[in-house]
Amino acid sequence: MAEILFSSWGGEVVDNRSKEPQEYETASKVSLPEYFQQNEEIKALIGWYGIVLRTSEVNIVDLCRTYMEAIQEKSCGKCFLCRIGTKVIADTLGRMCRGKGRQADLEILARLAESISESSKCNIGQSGPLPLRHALEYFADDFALAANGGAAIPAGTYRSKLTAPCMDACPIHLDIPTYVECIKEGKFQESLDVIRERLPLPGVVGRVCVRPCEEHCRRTNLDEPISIKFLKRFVSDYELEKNKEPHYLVEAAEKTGSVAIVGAGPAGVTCAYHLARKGHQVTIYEKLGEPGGMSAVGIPDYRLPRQILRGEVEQVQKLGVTIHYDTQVGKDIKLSQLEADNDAVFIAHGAHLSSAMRVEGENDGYKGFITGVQYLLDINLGKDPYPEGKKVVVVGGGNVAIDCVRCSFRVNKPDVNLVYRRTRNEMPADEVEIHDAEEEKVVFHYLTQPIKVIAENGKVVGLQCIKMELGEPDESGRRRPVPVEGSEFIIDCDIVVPAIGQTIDLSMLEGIDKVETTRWNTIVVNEFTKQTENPKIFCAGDCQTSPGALITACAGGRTAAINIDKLINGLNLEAAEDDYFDKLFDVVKVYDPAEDIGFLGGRARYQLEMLPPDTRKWTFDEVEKGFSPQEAMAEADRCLRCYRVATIAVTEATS
Amino acid sequence: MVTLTIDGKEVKVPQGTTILAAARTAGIRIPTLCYHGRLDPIGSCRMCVVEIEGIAHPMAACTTPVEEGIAVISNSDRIQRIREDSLKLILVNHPLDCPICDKGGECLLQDLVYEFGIDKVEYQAPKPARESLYATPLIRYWPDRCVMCLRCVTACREIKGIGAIEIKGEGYGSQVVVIDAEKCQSCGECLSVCPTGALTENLSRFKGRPWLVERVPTTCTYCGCGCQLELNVQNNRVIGVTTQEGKGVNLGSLCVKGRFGYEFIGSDERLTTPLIKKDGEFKEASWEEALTLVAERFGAIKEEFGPDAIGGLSSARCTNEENYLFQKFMRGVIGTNNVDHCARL
Amino acid sequence: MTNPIKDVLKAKAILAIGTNTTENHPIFANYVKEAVLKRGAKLIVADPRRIGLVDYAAIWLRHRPGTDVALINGLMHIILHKKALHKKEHIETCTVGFEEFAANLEKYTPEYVSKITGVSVEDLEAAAVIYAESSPASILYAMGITQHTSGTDNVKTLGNLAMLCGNIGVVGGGVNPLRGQNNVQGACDLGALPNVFTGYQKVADEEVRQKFAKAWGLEELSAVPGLQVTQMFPAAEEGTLKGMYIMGENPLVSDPDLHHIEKAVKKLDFMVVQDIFLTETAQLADVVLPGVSFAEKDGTFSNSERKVQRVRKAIEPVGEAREDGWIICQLATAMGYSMEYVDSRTVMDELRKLTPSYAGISYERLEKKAIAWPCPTEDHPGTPILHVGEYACGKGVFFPIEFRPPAENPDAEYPFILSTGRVLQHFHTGTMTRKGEGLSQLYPEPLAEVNPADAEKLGVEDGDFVNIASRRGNIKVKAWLTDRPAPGVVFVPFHFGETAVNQLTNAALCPDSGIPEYKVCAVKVEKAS
Repeated sequence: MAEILFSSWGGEVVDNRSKEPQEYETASKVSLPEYFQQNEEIKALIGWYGIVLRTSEVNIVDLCRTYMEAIQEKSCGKCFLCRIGTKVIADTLGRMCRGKGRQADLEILARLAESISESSKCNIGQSGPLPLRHALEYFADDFALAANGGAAIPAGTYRSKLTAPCMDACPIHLDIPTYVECIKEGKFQESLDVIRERLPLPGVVGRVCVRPCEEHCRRTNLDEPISIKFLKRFVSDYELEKNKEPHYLVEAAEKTGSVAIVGAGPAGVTCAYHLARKGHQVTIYEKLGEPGGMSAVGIPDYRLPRQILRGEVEQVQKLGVTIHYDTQVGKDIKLSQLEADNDAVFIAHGAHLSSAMRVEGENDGYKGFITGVQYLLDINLGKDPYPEGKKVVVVGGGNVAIDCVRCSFRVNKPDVNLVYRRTRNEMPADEVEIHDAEEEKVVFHYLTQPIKVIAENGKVVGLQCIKMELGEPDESGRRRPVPVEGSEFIIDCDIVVPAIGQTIDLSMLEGIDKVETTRWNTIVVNEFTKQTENPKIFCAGDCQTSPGALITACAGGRTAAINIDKLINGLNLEAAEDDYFDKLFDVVKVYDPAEDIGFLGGRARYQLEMLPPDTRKWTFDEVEKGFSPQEAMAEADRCLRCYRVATIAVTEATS
Repeated sequence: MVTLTIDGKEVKVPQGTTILAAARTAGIRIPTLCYHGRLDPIGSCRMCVVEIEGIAHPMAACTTPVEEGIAVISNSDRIQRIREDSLKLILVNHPLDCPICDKGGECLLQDLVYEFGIDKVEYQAPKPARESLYATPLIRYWPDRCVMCLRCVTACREIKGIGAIEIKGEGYGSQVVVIDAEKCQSCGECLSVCPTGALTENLSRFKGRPWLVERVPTTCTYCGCGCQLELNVQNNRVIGVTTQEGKGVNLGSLCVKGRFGYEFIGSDERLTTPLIKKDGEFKEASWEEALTLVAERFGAIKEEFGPDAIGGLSSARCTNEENYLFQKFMRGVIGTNNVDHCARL
Repeated sequence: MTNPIKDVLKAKAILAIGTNTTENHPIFANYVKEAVLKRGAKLIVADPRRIGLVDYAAIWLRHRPGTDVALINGLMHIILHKKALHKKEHIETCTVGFEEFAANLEKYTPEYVSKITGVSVEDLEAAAVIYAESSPASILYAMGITQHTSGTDNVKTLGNLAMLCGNIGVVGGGVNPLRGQNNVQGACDLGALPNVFTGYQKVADEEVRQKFAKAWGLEELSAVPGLQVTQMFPAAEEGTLKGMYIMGENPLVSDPDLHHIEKAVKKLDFMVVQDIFLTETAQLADVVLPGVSFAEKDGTFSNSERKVQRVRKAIEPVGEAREDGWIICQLATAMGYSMEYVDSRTVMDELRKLTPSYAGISYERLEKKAIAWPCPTEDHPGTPILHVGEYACGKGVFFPIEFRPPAENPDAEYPFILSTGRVLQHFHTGTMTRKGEGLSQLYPEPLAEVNPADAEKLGVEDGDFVNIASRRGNIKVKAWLTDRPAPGVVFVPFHFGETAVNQLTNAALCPDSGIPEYKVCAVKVEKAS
């Protein structure tokens, strides 16, 4: 990170302008990368929390002009002050930059900036004039000059981008404020249209998403985050309930081609959806007899009813996508064949192999020892994986482990245990899921590590474990569990389900050129394009990222589709400006959990009605009931619409 | 119930009440422009912002629900500045054509600018030349006068369930446009909620200034919904139909017939005198001649063929009292039960 | 209507059958749409035409015109016999006639009903489940139900459906006919019917007759129920009816089989028409008396939800035109019976004394708010919802109803079904809505709605003129190609006297209500030269 000349970011003023470089203070609230894209140095940043200047080459008045023009352009027009006021400001700054400033302008700028940021309806208007207020305060001389006959200021080079905390956190960057606003206004169909610009599976994602958006919801600073996930589910349910046919924007590309996709999971289906909307011929090859991949196998019906998943995939098929089920690539058809027959191939077959626990007895083929993936697969295909077994121990702390325990009740296993080597605080599973499992009376064994599967006559009879305690933090920042000597004990059971993670089956890649893999068995791609070293082959989803969130897989599928379309149309596969902004926002945070918003809060989120634990734990009926239209509209009304704009000044690197 | 204070006055209101509604219960006026009682709060004008003790940011009273124990300050120098700026910004491009504006005299913008005594606007932005983008034959749209409060957009969507109009574009260039002209039913809901003269009724344009018009509340003459409306009368002519917010089964809404179907009242084709047919031609007659003739002829038929040789059709157009009188006439004077009306048709 | 209009906002499901609500009751439609869009109610639309409400419906049953009884029986068969979703307790405690009714439903299997109505078995089942599982559920209907030879059966069948699912006498439920005219409710309430005095008091009832005779200062009143409107014209044609007094009606456009009506009217010895315009009917009168519009008189109207509301005089009558009440009174006086009233309030005060359901409705109270009858006393609040806790005459009666096809069905010579009705922009015979520029600009001339599939076979393009002929007459009208009617069905509005579609309609009547079958007659359609 290079030194900073001035920063007002987050209200912390660091002013090094009159100091020698060696005396420069550093800013604690922001760090600014040196480069935007290759060969473009970042000279200044202006945005929601203030101004960061790296050099005095950037003219502050021109920077503010550019930024306020961007704010004006992104203003939605739905409140008076932002719509007209930011125009007046942008025009005034423009005039000052042309050397036509007037003394009165300074007062106008100051007064309007204050009124607009104090009273605008949403965060565009609230955050937009804030850095201008900083500039007027700390760069008064520059503004005074521009207002009093200063020369015309040459325009610099800038890049601007609209974002929002939730939208930035969402891997597929759904335009959440807009679709939530549509719900608030009762425009449910329009809301779905906004979602479907990027995501074909609103009903699925609206049920099972890990919702990074809600973790970055600015309303949290006031009371509680918006229930974004369930709002998405609501619009999707509403469409189904009203028997509305979804409508999709289909716009054929200039050149269309044929694309083969391996796997009908979230990544594959999303990729197929975007390619089909561009008019490409898409064929999906799916190993199972069902669409959805890990979301069909690994997510139980009580969280994601089967017909929702099937229904949304069927809609994608209506766009002209063909799916061959029960067809395993690498076995039933060679990947090389697909490569030869198509313009591009997208690999998205997921991570379906269970990771080994590395304990004694796990490879001995005992009856009652069933991997987590297999366990869920059986249950979700409607059968009891091991009818003899009644007492279950699931090992692991992720969502798959939680699904395994909760499913166990639903195939009539009365005694259900979960073994996890750290504490509840470190559990990676969704908090809500853990809570629900607790409500359903799963027995949790924390700080417990399995060491041996105990069997008699080839059947599981117990799991030997050892107690753990938390030691020093490891590289992930979590405290490392260490065994407590002599604390071994046995949990009696007849089913052991290891669910500590999944790995990727790479056997299909045999005989394929230039597709590289990592030591974690993932497939290597260009991060911006999802293209492998083999230009015709693209890859995303769990098999590229290792097991991750469903929405991340969808995002990968979308990126791949965009780039496959470019490939077919003979365009360069380069990162877009948006991709570089994504990188920038990894460093310059869009959301600050410590921000004091200064609004009146106290409006709790609407809770979904749920089946009571005693009833629900024995059935596969969906546990959570959806919002009613009124509840959805009221919940959407809590959204603060935190759109915000960042503008950076860039120059081509000299060296 | 939630207890709060507004300007020091204690107010108790049910949970979920907005600050604006709470203030109104307490008799404290907070100025509004986009707020309309029939619509969900819009929050576009920001005129209703208030301060709350301990909360840094001013809040819009129309969209903010009350919280237990808050102390609301309905006005302050800061609030006054924001409200003035909101109005001044509207005046940046609002044509001051009040002398020829049908809304002049009952325009909310006019009232607010007057109330705030805004006599000069230091802000500037180019006035975009905007053409009339939509207007049904019955509704005239004056985009220059539109303040984009979005009442019309909200009404079309919320009350009519149609959504034929929407805000489009971004920033200063955004405007209210028709997104689905086919769906527009010319009901005039947009027109009736418009606080300014941006939407005016084409039929009564330039026909009467609001302060010269008498408004007579009555019941609509068309379908059986029984909407409450006001006939606008000037010089013994009905020149328009308006409604009162929240009044009647229609809550101030009307359909295209109720709002625009009043021209027949003053039609040149109205019958203005009794007519008697002589040799196949109608001749104008006095009431006395006509009534005498009818009485004679009905009397003669009754005499010769009995009362049941006469039939009477009453009218679903007429009042209860008239229907009563009609059947009384048929049953009591003619002496027959041959009386019916068009209920079946 | 059993329930108030805004009550529909509380319904969880709404069955709209035979009502083109968005065009004919637009304000009611506001609330139906709000119930669906904002409150999550599920709307079932049953209509042969793709009417505006279809866009808001969870399910649309496009049944063949005139098959309503079969359709509803089919839904009830599913609810009762297939899914057992009926409200047993309600049926046991509040109704009679269930056994016979249930037995009658047995043959209305989804497959059988699907064959009659053209609605798929899946749609029938889905609709039945929605109606039965959503409580409360409201039924709305209008002339699409009543204007059939089976009109009364249709209404009774809807009553059966509501009772089967316990939807009578509850908020958000009910069976709700939407009244087509501003004061059709009031005209019925105030005795403009051949068999009853005000408040539905029977003329056949001796005691009632004496009460009225006494109040009116007369010796006696006729006990013989009179002729219905649809019987008067045949009586005129036969020569038994000699004179007619028509106030504010235009049968020469509104009634079925106009050629017959015209013949009948011409045979009358004497006809007086009292109206505000020289209507098609007035032109045939011997004497025309100029009445006034609603803007020129005081009084009350009773709306569809039985609410009595004030009408207020806004302007003085034009020219020599006079309030209709004044004219009636003058005529009575000229015939030797003095009728004198100071104003409409005194008329109301007289009729209140004779009409128990209106007894408590005074002008003083109406100044403050509208009141729904029955309102027997001045301190009674009125009755927004009928049959709360009990039915009007004790228990609700289930009627076993059989499906009967319409009187005239399409055949080789007349292969199309013609339905008539209204459009949004006009009202009834157009005497009011067509007198100004405003509404006529929006809908200037009659349009025959023809399905594009039919149009293609007929070689007709949008805007071409077609000849539509029935066994009774023919008209030439411009075609509008639209999927609003199903193939094989044409729809023509009846507002236009110069292209009076009622020259074609069938005067076959519902035997109980006397309502003509406007919604179904057989016609042929040809491209006009």
